[in-house]
Amino acid sequence: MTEAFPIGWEEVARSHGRKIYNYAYRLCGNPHDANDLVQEVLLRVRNGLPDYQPGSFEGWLWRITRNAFLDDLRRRRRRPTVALGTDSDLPSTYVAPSPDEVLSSVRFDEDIQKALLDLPMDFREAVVMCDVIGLSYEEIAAAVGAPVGTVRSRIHRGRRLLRERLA
Amino acid sequence: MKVHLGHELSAYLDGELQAAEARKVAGHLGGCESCRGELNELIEIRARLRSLPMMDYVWQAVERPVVVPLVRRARVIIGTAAAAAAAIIAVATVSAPREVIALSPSDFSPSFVARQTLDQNFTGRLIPPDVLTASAEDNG
Repeated sequence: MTEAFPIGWEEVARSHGRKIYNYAYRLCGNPHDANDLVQEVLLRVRNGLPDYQPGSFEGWLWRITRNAFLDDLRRRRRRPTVALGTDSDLPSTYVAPSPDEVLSSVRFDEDIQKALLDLPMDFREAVVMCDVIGLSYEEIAAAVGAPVGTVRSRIHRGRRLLRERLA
Repeated sequence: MKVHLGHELSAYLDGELQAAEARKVAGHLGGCESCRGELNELIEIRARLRSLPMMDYVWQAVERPVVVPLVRRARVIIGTAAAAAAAIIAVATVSAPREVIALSPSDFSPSFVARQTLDQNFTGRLIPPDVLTASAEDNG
């Protein structure tokens, strides 16, 4: 039987909005695309909550996040202009990071961000989920739909590639 | 020939191995300088990744949606992007008097600007409604 998730999507926004934003930012390196992704993910979360099956909430949320990110990538490749959302009545807003925050983060992590963007997507995603977001291997496996052994290998190879590129 | 450790090392570092497997890895590390060196490199890169700053993302409820007159929606994209850039520059000036980032309309992702402009119900906005409305009137 399907049970409604015990919290609302607004709480998901508050508890996970920042993580989703940082996930997208580290994967694409663009704060505005990252912001768009949070909006899209929260729409999908709101639409999906009534059908949520009790289980790994993190796995469920990050699977939605990942799918939204990949859909966005495909859309941008196919058509580099605009596709409008069809259901955008989220009663919420994004407050941009201050210029100071943006500048300082850009200066301090430029090298590693650049190296991350050079990684193949599978490795980049696994490393970001593990080391930036702090998900367990099992949660990452649920999110990406791959066995834990594959996740383990991607994280290790991703870190090694980063090490080589930053050496 | 001695077989060196592979991705078990990352899993070991992350505490993701079963106890028996972790003991095997620890045993191997005790007698293998090469794998200890590899582990140290992994520790270093992992620490760098984990010290990346988390960018702030603040979630707030808003009171009213942005409303753009129906017939004018399609005309206001460019004007709105310029108004949005001006609004952001103003914000940047107020909050960081010593470091101002110059933003142009291209700094906004197209979908974000279009959603603000074309979708009456989209309220994930950076652009104040009065700016948007003024922009719509200018362009109408």
